[in-house]
Amino acid sequence: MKKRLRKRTPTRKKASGRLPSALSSDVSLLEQKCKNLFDLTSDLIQIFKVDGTIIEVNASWRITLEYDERDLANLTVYNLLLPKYRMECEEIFLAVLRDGRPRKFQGSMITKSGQEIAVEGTVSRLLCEDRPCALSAIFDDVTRHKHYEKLKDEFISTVSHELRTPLTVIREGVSQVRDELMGPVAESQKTMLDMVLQNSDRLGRIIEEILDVSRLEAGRVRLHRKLCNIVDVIKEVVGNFKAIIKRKDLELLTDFPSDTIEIYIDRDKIVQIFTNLITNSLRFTEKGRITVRLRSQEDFVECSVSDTGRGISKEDLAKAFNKFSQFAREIGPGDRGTGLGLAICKRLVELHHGRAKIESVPLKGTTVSFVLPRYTHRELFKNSIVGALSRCVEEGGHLSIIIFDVLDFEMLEKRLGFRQMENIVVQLEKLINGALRRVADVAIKDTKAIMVLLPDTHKDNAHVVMGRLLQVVEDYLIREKKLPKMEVHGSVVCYPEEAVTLEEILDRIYAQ
Amino acid sequence: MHSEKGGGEQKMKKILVIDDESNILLMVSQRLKIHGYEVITALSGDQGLERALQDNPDLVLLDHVMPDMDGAEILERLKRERRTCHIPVIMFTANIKEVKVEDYIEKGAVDCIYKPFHPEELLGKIKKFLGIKA
Repeated sequence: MKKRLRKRTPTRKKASGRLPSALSSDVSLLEQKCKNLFDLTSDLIQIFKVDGTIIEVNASWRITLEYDERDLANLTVYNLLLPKYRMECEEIFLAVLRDGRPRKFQGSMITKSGQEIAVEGTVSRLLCEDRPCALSAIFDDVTRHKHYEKLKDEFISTVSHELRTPLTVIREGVSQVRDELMGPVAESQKTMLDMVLQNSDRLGRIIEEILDVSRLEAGRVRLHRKLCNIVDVIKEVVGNFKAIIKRKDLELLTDFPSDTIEIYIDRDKIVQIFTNLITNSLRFTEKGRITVRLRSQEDFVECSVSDTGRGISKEDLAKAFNKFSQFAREIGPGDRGTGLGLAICKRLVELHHGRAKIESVPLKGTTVSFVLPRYTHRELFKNSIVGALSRCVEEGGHLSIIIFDVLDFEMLEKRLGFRQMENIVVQLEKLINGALRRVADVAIKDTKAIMVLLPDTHKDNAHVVMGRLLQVVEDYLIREKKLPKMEVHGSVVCYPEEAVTLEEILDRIYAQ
Repeated sequence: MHSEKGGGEQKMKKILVIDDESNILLMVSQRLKIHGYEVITALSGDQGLERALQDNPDLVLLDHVMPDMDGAEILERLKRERRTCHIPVIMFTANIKEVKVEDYIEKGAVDCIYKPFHPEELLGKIKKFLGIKA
C-alpha cells in the first residue's frame, strides 16, 4: 500500500505538467488518464458485486444520483433501483456473470432526494486474473428523453381521439347522402361520394396506424402469447383476401411444410403482420402471384411473403422499414398505403423477439421475411410471470397462478408412453385456454402440469376460476372415452399473499 | 322513406343513444330511424340514465367518454339498477385498442363499435343484440 502511495504522489504533479520519464510513472499517468476519463464522461458508471455491493462509481454517477463517497457503503445497486426493476436486474446480472456476454438494461433509479431517473445502458462482466470478479454498468440518464416520449405519446393519443370524432360525422354524413337516405343522387355524384368515403376510410387507417406505431415505440403493446397453429392463422388471413385476389386476377399461393406448426405467438399480432404484408404486396403487384411461405426449424419458424410486383429500388430498400417511407408510387388515384405498414410489422416481429428483413429486385418482385423464435413453455411461463409480476409491483395489483397437474403422472406415462401423455397435456392446455375468458389470462403447459396465469386476480376469485376450469377438465375427461382414467388436481399460488419474489413463486409452482 | 328492417310489423324497437357529440347523435339517430327504429338520445351520462329508466329502451348505444361521468360508470349504474339491468348495452367509442372490449364485456356490455363506424356494422350489431334479452 505504501509503495503504491509513493508512486502515486509524484505522478499527480507530472500529470499536470512535466513529461514522465520512468516506466512506472507511465503506468501511473495512464492510470490517472483513465481515472480522468472515468470521471469526465457523462455516462453513469458503477462497478459492483453481484450481491449488490458497490465497489466504485464515477463522478457523473455521484452527481446524478446525489450520493457522495461516504454514502456508498450503505447502498446496494438493488436498493437504488425502483422496486419493479429489481427482479429483472438480478436476472440480468446473474446471466452476465455466468456467460460474460454484456446485456442491455433499461430501468429507473432513485436519487438520494427521492427523484426517479430513467436509465438505459449495458451491464458487463469484469475479470481479475481471468476470473469474473465484478460487474460494471454503464448507462445514460434518459429521464428527459423519456419525458418527451411520454408527452409525444399522450399527444398522439389525444389527437387521434379528437380526429376520429369529426371523421365519424364526415363519414356517416357522406354515407347517408350516398345511400340516398335524403333523396335520389345522380350516378356521377355517387362516384364522387364513393371517393370521399374511400378517403375518409384511408384517413381512419392512417390515424390507427400512427397510434399503433406510437404505442409500439412507447413499449405499451403487450403480447399475449398462446400456443397456436400458425398454419391455421395464416390460412384464415389468406381467406380474407380471396375476393380481392380474384378481382385483380392474381394468384395467392401458400407453401407450408405441414398442416400443423405449433408455436407460442400472439395470434392477433401475427394476423396483423400477415395482413399488412399481403396488403402491401397487393398494392404493388399487377400480375403474377403472392406467395406466403412457412419453414419450420428447430429453434424458430421462418415466414415470408413474396410477390412478383414492381419491386423496390436499392436506395428505397434501405429505408423500407422506416416510418412514412413510400415508394414505387404511381401518379394518379389508387389504393395508397400509409407508409407505416412495414414499420409496424417490423416492430411486431421484434416484440416476438424475431427479426425481419426485406429483399427486392426492381420489376421482379419483393420478399419480406422474418423469423419467430420458438419459445419453450418454461421460458414463456417464466417471462409471463416476470412481466405480470413487475406490473403488479408497479401498480400494486394482485396476481394468481393456478397449477393443474395430472395425478400419478409417472405411472400413467409408464403405461401409455411419453408421446401420448404429451399429447394429453397439450389437449388439456388447449381446453383450458379455450375456457379462459379474459385476453390477459393464459394457460401454459409444462411437461406434466398446466399453469394458468391470472393477472389482477385475488385469491378468492382465482379459486372460483379454478373450480370452473376443473369442471371443464372433468367434463372433458368423461366425454373423451378413448382417454385412460385419470384425475387432475388444482392448486393456487397468489402474489402478494403467499409469495413475493419471482423465486418464491417459481419454487411454489415447481414444488407442486 | 323506407322503414322495414328493424322494427318490422310489431312494435318498433326503441334505441337509446348516449353521446356528448350532438352531431354524432344526429347522424346515428337519422340512420336508425330510417331503418325503422325508434330513437331517443341523451347528451350526458345523467340524462342517459334518466332516459333509460323513463323510456325503457330495448338497447343502449353508449359513448365511452362522457363529460360528466365515463362510460364505464354509466354502464355499471345501468347494470346495477333492477329496471335497466336487462337492457343490452353496446359501447360506442373512438378509442380503438385503448379501450379493452373485454373489460366492458366483464362489466356487462354486449359488444363494442368503434368510431368512425361503417353503417353495416352498426346496423348488424344492433340487429344481432336486439334478439338477446339477458
